[in-house]
Parts: sequence; C-alpha cells; structure tokens
Amino acid sequence: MGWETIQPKSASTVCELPPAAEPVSQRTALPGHDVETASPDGFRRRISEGIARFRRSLSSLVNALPGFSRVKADSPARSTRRLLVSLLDGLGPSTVNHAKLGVELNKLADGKQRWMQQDPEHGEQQFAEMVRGVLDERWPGKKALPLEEAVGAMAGPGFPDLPQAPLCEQLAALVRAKAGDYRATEVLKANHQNEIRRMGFEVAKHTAEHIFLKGPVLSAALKAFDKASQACRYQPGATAEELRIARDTLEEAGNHLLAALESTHARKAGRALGSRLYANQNLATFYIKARNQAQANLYDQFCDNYVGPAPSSAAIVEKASQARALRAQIARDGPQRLRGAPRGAEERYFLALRKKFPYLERVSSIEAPDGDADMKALRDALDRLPTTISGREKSPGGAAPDYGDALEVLNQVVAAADRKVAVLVAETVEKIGQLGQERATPERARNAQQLVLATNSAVLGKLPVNEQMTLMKLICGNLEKRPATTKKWRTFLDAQERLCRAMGLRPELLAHEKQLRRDVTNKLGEHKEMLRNARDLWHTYTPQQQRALLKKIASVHCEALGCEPPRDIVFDSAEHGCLWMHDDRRIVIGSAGGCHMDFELTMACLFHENTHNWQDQLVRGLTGKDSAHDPLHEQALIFKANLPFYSQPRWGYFQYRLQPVEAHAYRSGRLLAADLMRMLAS
Amino acid sequence: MSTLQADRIPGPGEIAEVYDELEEEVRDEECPLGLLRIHPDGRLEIVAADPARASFLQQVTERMNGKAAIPVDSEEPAAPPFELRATMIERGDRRFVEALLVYVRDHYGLRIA
Repeated sequence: MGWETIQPKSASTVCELPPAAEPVSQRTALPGHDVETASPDGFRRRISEGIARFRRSLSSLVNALPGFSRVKADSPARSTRRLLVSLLDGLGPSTVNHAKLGVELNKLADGKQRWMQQDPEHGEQQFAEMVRGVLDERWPGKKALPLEEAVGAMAGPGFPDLPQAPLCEQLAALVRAKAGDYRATEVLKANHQNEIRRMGFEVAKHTAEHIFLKGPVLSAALKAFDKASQACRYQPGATAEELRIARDTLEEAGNHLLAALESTHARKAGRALGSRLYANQNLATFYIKARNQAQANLYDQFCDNYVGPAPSSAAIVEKASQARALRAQIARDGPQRLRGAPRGAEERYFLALRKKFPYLERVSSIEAPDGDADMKALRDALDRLPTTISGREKSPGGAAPDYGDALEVLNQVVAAADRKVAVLVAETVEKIGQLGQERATPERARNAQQLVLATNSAVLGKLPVNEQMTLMKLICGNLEKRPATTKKWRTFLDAQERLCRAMGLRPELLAHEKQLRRDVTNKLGEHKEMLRNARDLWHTYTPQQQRALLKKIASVHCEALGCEPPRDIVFDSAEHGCLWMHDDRRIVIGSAGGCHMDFELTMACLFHENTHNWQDQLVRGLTGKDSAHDPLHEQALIFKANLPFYSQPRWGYFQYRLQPVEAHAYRSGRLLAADLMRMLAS
Repeated sequence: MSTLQADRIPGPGEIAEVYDELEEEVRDEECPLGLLRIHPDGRLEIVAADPARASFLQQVTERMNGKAAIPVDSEEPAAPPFELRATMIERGDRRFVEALLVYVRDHYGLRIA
C-alpha cells in the first residue's frame, strides 16, 4: 500500500485530527509568555515535533481504515505493490515489449520474494489477496476489461519463453477472474432489468399515472406498485435469489394494479391488459418447443385460449402463472442435450410430433362423413396416441407411456393421414381433369378458383406438380399476366396465392442447394485473403474494382450452379435496389441510395439476383418433357408458372416474398451470403 | 411459426443471447454462442462466448461495431420486377438496434434474442 491510495477525503479527516501544533500556536499567540518560542532553534524544534506527531497520527488513521494494513514507507510490501501497479499500468493491449515486460516481471518477482521472506505468514494466497486488493482499487468495475485484454497480450508469441511465466500466468488468471466477476455481476443486473421489462406493466403504470381521478383503490395499487418498483432496483451485492423475490413482489403488485385499473377504469384498461398478456414473458412461452410430457402438458395448458382478444386481468394472471410454471419445468428438466448425445424416446416422440403437428392439424380438420373409412382409420390411430396432436397427455396421472411404441403409432397416424390425403388428392385430380375437359370459359376459371379455395392446403401441397400446373392454368383462364388488385379479381388472386404457397420449394431443390452452397463456399474459400481484403476495404474500392470482384464471385457461383454467368454486372446511379434483367441477362446494382457500399448487402444482392439468373436457365432447360427425369424438373415447372403472374411488392409485400421465385431467391441469397461472411470471419 | 418470430427484439442496454441459426437448422435445437450486451448506440459487446466460437463472434461484433449505417430491406413499393431494395439506417437512429439485429441474422445467420 502506498501513499497514492490516500483519497482526497483523507484531507478532511486530517483537519479533524488532534491539533499537533496546537501548543505552538497557543504559545505564539501569547508573545512574551513563552521563552522557548523566542529562540529560533526552539521554534524550529517545536515545529519539527509537531509535524512528526501529525505524521504519526495520520499514519495510524490511514492504517486504521478497513482494508489497509500498516505499511512501512520502505517495506517490501509497499515496493511489491508499487512494482505490481507499475507493471499493470504499463501493459498495453496492442504492443507488448517482451524485454520490458521481462524486466518488470523480474523486479516484481524479486519484490515478491522479499515480501514473502519478511513474514512466514506471507504466502501465495496472501500475494493473490494483495493483487486482488490492487485490482479493486485501481481497476474497479468495467476498468478490469481493458486490463483483461492487456494481460491477454502477455500470452502472445514470446510469452512462454519468459522465465517468469508462472508469475505472469498467476497475474493473468487473477485479472481474468476479476473481469469475470464484473461480467457476472453485469449479467445478473442486466437479466434482472430485462426480466422486469418483460413483465409488460409499463402501459398499466403509464395509464394509471395519467388518470386524474384515480380513486382510493387505484391510488393504493399504484402506490404499492411504485414501492415494489423501488424495492426491485438493483443494489450492489444483491444475490440472484434476492432479486427473484423482489421481482415476484413486483409482479404481484403489477397484477393488483391491472385488476384495480380494470375494476375502476375498464375502458382505459384494454391496452394495459393486452400489453401484459402479450409481454415477452408470456409471448416467448408461446413459442417454446416442448421436449417431454410435463412440458407439453404445461405448454398446451398455456396455449389454450392464449391468442385472441385480451381477457380479464384474472385470466391474464392465470396465463402468466402458467407461463412461469412452464419455464420452471424447463429449468427443472436441466440443461440442453449436448451436441451428439443421443435423444431419449420421449424427446424423439415430441420432436416428431412437433414436426408433424401442422400437417396433422390440417388433415384432422378435414370434414368427412361418419362412414368415411380413411378418416375413421385416422381417428382410430389418433386415439392410440398417448397424447393429443398438440402434445397434451390423454390420461394424466397414469403410468408413463412407452414412447418407443408411441413413435410407432405416430408413424401409423401419419400414414393414415397420408392415405386420407391421397384419396382427396385423387378426387381433386379427377375434378381438375373434368374442369380441363370443359370449354375454356370464365365460368370454368371461376370453378377452378373455387376448387382451390375449398381444397384443404395439405391436399393442395400433395398434388402432383403437373396437376398443380394444370390447376394454375385453369384458374388463370385466358389471363396472360397478373391483373390489378381489385375487388373483381379478389377470388382469382386469393386462389393463385394459395396455390403458389402450396407449391412452394420442392425438397429436391433444397437438397440440391445444400450441396451447392458448400461447393460455392469451398471455391470462394480459395480466395479467402483477397475476399477478406475486399470486405474490409470495400468502401475504398473504385466502381471498376467492385464490379470486377462481383463478376468474379458471380462466375464462381455460376460454375457451381452449372449455368451461364450473367452477361454483365453494372452499377446504376438512378436505381435504389438491385435488378435481374431477363432480356439482356444483366445484374443491375443500384447505387442511388449508397447501399452498394455495404459489402454484406451487396453480396446478398448478388447471390439473390444471380439465383434469378439460374431460375431462368432452369425454366429454359428443364421444363421440357425430355427432362422429366431431372430432380429439378418439377421446381422448374413451378418457376415457369410463377413468372407470368409475378407479384410486385406494391401489390402486397408478403405475396411478393412468398411467391416461389422470390422465396427461392431470398433464401438462396441470404444463405449463400451468410456462408461467405461466416467463412471470411472464421 | 419459426423460433425467429418468437423472439422479441432486445432493447438497447440489454444483454441478449446469440444463437447460430444456420446450425440450428441442421441440428434442430438451439445453438447458443454466447451473450452480447447491446449498447444504446447499437454497439455490441461480448459478455460471454462459447470458447470454440469466440473468435468468430469477436470478428462479427468488431465488424458490426465498425458500421456507421445498416442497410435493411425496405417494404416500400418498388416498380420493376425482381427488385431488391434497401434503406440505410444510420447509427443513432432509434431503429438502428432493430435493424442491426435483422442484419446480423440475414448476413451472418446469427440470431440475437
């Protein structure tokens, strides 16, 4: 401990010391009554004695402060501390002079040795305490983070050669522990604040505060909520358990506030109730993926009537408690499965059920007469499942089912659903055939549109691609391009959108693209350094340099795709976005908004537009009868059907994004660019 | 609905978890990479990281922290077919943090939630 540790407040403490020089001042205040002060030597001695007394008093006061130990001015402890501070002060994150560091470490090692020899009680543990004390005083809170970065540099090249490596490691470990403590506290604090925000009481509080005539009930509830909010503020040193208890109290007070608001000012309570119901704390629960029966039961209970108009405050409190119960169950069930660890039968069952739930839900909603054998088989199979299709246990409290068997039954359910869908698909195909034989009239197009709208989406999705194409032609009638979005064309547009979504992206295309992405990334990986430079210096590149690089990447992409590269890639200062020009096979990068200066976005745009290039070539090359065996033939047919009825963004953003050509281009562009950026950042 | 839609966008000052979304697609389970603090100015600070991916996360955060503006897909109508249009959102704009999280997800396959 050195004098540098004395804080300014010590100065005020000094003023309160017993006045060491008091006799002098008293005596000098009475001239002629003290002979000693009359002599210059006597006066000097008095002053020296006074100063010495003052120093002793100050020293005893400083040593009496908590955390301070009595340190002699020239003690090994003081010099060791000074050396330690000097060494840590001199560390820089970017440049570490190993020679200088070695000298400093030598000095510190000597100092440490002297200090340890001074007292048999001085050991490694006491030295670590000393380092921690120095860190607390000189690098408190977040100041430990730059220091952590600096000690990280000590582990750079050349470090292991230093003879003081163990001391260096010891210091680095202590600094890292200090930074870790800071982070842990920050995480605790931030999670606490996040949890408070996620309760969703802000609107209720704001609404209540702005009601002029609150009345005693609302006033009391608001006051209690404010008090709980105050008590919930993070205090240094608070434990996670204390914070959780404070949050529980706050949540209770918030629920009371909502109830008071609802009972006294029902008309103003709606927004506050909705805000609490759909607060992140509850909404996040809605998307939890249950992994076992206990979770699935709680999840199903929570989801029951969750979505919809905001119910009463009592119902919201119940939903919040259900959400909490589910989260607690997940916490009890322990951490997530480690990568590669096998899944248990129960987890596999719920994983499979979750995947099949949308399909089974659609199929089980099909209306069928009582005597329908397929539907009966499906219902029988569903009855044999130990749970509902949403995962709820059918016989709670009973013996745990055999989930291995349940998986088998689930496969039978899916098979039964497939059989039912296959029958409906056959019927729909027949209807399509009949419609196809009718005369081409607007009536036939309307019937086809009604057929699409009346057919279950599971059935539409399972129609053979050729039938989907025929249906598309039928609903379009003699239309050659997409009509305007008016009431007259509403039915057509709804049918067309529904059919487009049902067609979607074929599994063959997705599997094919997965391998393609690997190929593209591997090929681009051969130019990793060049691409890294381009990424980092993109904003300094001239348009010519940028264009050359884009052409290079497009050619690598096309090589992997096995298609012709675009004829040209150009910048257009009049355009904001990027375009694929079908006719002259060019990619236009709009530079009007300056977005082309963002490397990541430009890469995503390039891959997106080049995917349109590939789609064009698929449509040209794979839609003929001679390519019917090609795995991408069906997808090419879907793209071909989409092109004349391409939906512009201004006609509806989601229609635009979900149509097959755009769904594919967005997906491919995003994934390819992400793969490239991740490769460059790894 | 995807998990993506499930996650509320973290606000400035919050500590959020970062997940590898591309890895999640393959493994069909959550793949956390670490914790990030989102500063009010949109700066990302690593609070904790999976040691195996710490360097990758460090590079991504450094790159993101170096961006003065973030381009995001605009939903505004655009005239010609096949147009992909973006709008720049400057650092300091109240929408910046939201845009940044979308950007990191789109261009790096990382979900911050």
